[in-house]
Amino acid sequence: MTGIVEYILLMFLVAIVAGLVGSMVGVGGGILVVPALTVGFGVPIEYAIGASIISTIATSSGSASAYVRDRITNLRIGMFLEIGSVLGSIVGVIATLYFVRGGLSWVIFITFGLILFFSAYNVVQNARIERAGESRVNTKPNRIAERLNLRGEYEDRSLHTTIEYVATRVPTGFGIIFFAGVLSGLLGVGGGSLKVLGMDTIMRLPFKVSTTTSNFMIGVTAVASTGILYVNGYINVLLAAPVALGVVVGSLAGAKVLVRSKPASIRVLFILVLLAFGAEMILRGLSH
Amino acid sequence: MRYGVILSSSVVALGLALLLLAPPVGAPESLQDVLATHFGQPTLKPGALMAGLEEGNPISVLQLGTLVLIATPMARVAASALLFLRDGDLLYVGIALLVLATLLTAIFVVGPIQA
Repeated sequence: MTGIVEYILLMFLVAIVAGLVGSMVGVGGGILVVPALTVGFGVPIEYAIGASIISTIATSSGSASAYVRDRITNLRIGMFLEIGSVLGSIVGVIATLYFVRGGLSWVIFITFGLILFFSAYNVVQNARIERAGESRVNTKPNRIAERLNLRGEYEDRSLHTTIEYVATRVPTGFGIIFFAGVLSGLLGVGGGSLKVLGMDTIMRLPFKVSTTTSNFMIGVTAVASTGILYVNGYINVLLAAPVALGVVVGSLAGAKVLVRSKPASIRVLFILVLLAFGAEMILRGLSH
Repeated sequence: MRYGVILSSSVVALGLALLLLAPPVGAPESLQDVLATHFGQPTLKPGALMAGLEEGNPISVLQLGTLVLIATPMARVAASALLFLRDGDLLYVGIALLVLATLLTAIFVVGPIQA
């Protein structure tokens, strides 16, 4: 019986590392889970996605609550965008089931590799955005934002000011969020980077509002694809349980360890890991 | 929301502990075997789950933990709907309920159709 004990502990450990590294850089640990399981342990990608999306629910639920209480998360914008996100997730997971059952898993591998490259790019971008400040926040009202109340204000503790904002370019933003949902359903990731991009860069919401609202949304979005995978038997609890627990533990540890700014060395390491995994995933896909 | 994660994490941890201490008979030895035999395949029929829990089957405990985890964000949406109701914001009560309905449709309609 030692076999099962060994690998549960191993999965747990791998997940802790994924959660740790992910939270230290500000990206969900989830993005490393699928590559680690598929490339590292030969887990079929559909089961890896199942384990990963479950861990995504866990990390999202844990961290979102604090910011909602602090009134930084914009519940209305989040809930409105959630419509698109959930619909996207359903489309994405249906696509994954189609690819997997049609012997086309390699498509998922290549897509995942490209997303890993995109995430590496994002780590660099986020550093830039954080330094740039909030001067780009939109305050001009527009019809859609008025109708749907897609605006708000929050107190920025560090700047000691109240920042007001109005969402702009909502249809485009909604589209990006839908696409982020598709990626979440397809790949079992949170899609937070894309959601933040949609809210921060397209809809010009304050960065903190974007990140916290995105966090809130990710868990809800994940439920859609998780449910569909579950009903179709692709959630193997023996795999998903230690992975989910591990990512949560790792994320908590990472948040505690790094209270202040994220050192550049960790970012560089993370970027290298993303690029390495990305290349490996694409190679796997191409050599099917 | 945090309580949902704490609850489900506790259940999952319990399940894993049970599994490590008293592995069920016929448990596979390796990761490949786990996936090949679909060991831990969710048994969605409540009867099977309850029976498994009564036996103290670790897999059933893990499944319960997983189900609790999946339910947490849905409770979050429902709670938001109540918040909007308290604010008298009927538009967003509707939006929140729409999100909830979409999730339930995904799980109970789209899921089985795909199966």
